[in-house]
Amino acid sequence: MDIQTITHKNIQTDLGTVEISISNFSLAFHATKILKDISVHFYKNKVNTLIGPSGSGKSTLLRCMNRINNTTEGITTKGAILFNSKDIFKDNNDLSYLRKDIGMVFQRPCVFPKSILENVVFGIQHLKKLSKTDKLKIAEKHLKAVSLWNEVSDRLNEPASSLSIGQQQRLCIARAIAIEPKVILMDEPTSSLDPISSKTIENLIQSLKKQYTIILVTHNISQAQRISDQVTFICEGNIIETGSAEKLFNHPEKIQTKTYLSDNFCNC
Amino acid sequence: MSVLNNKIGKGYVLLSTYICVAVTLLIFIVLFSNSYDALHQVGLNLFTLEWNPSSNKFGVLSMLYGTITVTFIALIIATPLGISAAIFTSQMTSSKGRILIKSTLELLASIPSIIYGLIGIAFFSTWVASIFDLSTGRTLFTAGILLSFMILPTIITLCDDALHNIPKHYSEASKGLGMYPYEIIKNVLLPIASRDIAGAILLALGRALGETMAVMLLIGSIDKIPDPFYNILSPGQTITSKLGREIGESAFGSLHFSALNTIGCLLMVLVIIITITTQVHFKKERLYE
Amino acid sequence: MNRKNINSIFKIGIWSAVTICFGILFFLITVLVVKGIQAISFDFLFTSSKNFGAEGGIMYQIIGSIILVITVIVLSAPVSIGVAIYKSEYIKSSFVQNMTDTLIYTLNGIPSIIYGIFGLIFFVNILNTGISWFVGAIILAIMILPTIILSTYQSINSIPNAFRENANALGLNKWQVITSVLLPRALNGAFTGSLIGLARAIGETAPIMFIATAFSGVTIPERIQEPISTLPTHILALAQQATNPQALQNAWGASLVLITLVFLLSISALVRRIQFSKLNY
Repeated sequence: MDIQTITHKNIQTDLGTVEISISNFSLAFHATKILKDISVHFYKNKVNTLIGPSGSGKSTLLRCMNRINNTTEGITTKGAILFNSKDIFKDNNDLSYLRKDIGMVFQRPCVFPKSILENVVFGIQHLKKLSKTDKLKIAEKHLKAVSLWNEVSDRLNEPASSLSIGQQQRLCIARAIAIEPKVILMDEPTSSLDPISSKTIENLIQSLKKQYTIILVTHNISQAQRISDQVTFICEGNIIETGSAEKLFNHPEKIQTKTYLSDNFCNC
Repeated sequence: MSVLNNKIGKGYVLLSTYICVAVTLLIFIVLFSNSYDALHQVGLNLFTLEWNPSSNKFGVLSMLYGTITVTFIALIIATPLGISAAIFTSQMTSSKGRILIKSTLELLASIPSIIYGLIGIAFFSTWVASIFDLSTGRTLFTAGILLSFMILPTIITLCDDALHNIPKHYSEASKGLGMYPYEIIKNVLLPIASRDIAGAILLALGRALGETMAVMLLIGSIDKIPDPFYNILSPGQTITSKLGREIGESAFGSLHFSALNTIGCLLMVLVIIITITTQVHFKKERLYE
Repeated sequence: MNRKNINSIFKIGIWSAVTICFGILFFLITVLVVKGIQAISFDFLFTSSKNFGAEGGIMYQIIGSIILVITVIVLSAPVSIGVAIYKSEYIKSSFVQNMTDTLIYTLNGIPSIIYGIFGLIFFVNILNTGISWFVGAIILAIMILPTIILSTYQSINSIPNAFRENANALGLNKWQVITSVLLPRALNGAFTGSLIGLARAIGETAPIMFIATAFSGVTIPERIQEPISTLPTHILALAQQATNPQALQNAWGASLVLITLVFLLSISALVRRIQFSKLNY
């Protein structure tokens, strides 16, 4: 099958339209194989979750989708990742364009040493010229979207570092969606947070999916059960099983999936 | 627009680096090429005793001797003083006191060498002349003393860092065994820090070798090895003092100039080797952990 | 001798060494201040020198030193910052890293008199610039490149990688990441490094004594190819007339002024470094 002729926008399932399609994708770091011949789809406006034990390669796969690891030496890849009908690995142009469409939220919130307002607009101000009022409008819109506006509207000019870690993570999400991406990649976004902040973010993810496609990595199975629409189980660089959340959590097909879900242990 | 900026930015950064590389290469090329004449025509006769440009004699042994002697004197004086002071600052003062002392030492280290030269002329050369009953106070010894003052702050600061960075559990365990401070320092701390202390001394050596102004004013500028050779109370000459005195007076392009250039290159290569060795050394892993 | 006695002797030895060290320091500072103050007067600071400095003041020497170091920083800082950014953000292979480091250490290790000889051969003779204050500034600028590069690099390097990653993920290109995340800190480091470098440059004699300075009749240079007079070279000229008490006194005065300038620069740099070691990014 010629990769170029697959127009995955036409692929419809009960999960909806495909946004990103991974096709026979492998990745090696020097001699070690990290991802082995991965093929999977991720669906538009759904929460697509990657689960699996530590070291399974789920974060690596996530980071391939915005090619944030392009500066790491020693990485070789095979296969394709299709987004917008293009293989993002063939297209060696300015990666900043890719990252405007595919944003990322990291495990540990990283706010820049600037004010809350400046943090929210940090990414978008490099894309277009913004006046002071523009900045305020954008900040308000996206801080409201992450339910942070009420807490910070009176102190937008204070340093972002004065926020609690849960608030900082929501700020990072606001900053990421301010660029108006199509896809948001989230790498264990709640693992640095306390349970209450985690819950707030989980609710946020549920509301964000109406506008954005979410691809989420988590090692927390209950979290995955709470918020996923589509789940992919990865172990040791291989996709063991993938499907709708309902199906995978309630009627898993593979024995490894069953073992992982019940015992949090994978014997791949 | 931002793509253009990115290209301009990269261009700026690369240009700066190329300038740096080009300048370094230029320095080496210019200096080595000017040594060609002397190496070609004088060759091994450089390593003789007599320096007399008008009769085409370019023996640099007296300068080599002067450089080695003056540096040796400076190290003999500065090393024990420096290590002792470093033991004091790292083991026997509070952290506030340590910062105060180290800051003062840094100021001391920033005194320009010409001022050391002036102080040497005004005080030390007369003192040396009167204490040892000499006709002139400008001797290898005097130059060595001032040089030791100049490298002392370097030795103290670096040895203090070396001792201070040793994890506390070593000295605590030793104290727990009932050892006296002297024994702890001698048997535990100094051996662990020995590599870094050696590096510090090497770095000070490099600086001493390259020092010009103070030495030039205090050494007497006589091209001879003292008789007997260990008589450091007589005037002499180092490579740097020779260069300082004569390069301005020798005609560019002459064999004289080339000979001076050659010994300068010799010195430069030696100092660079020492500098790079110590810098690499300080990057290497520590003995402990 | 028992252990306790040995320990006591050791302690005495250490204290003696420390006393000697402080004695030296104290002596140097006292001499400079006491002797120097005697020479300082309004006239001294603001008139020009006469008779090879044996009479008159040091006004043009002060001006000359200041002009020289301002030019030095203008020449040196941009190149240094560029190299530091290159070293920190653009080098991928460790071989190139090592080569760059070696280059910087090499420049740092060249003795100052050798820089003077290089300047003499290349600029004064080969390029035929004659005695020129600007050439002197160029040579000094090259000399302090390593200092500013290393200080700037340390500042940039202390910024955690998470900031670069997050900025990258927001779609910023390389240069945008540098200007918005790294440059403020880089400029800080460059400023501190500049102060340290200038403290050294302002006191240097050997690199400029044959290529940029003259010992009499110099006022403010009007064109690039003119000589300049600076404090350290002036002190050298006076030191060589040390038998003349007036010349010697003027030498002390000039030294005090020079050391004051050097200390101002060094102390500013020191204060900044202590401040920034307390700051957490």
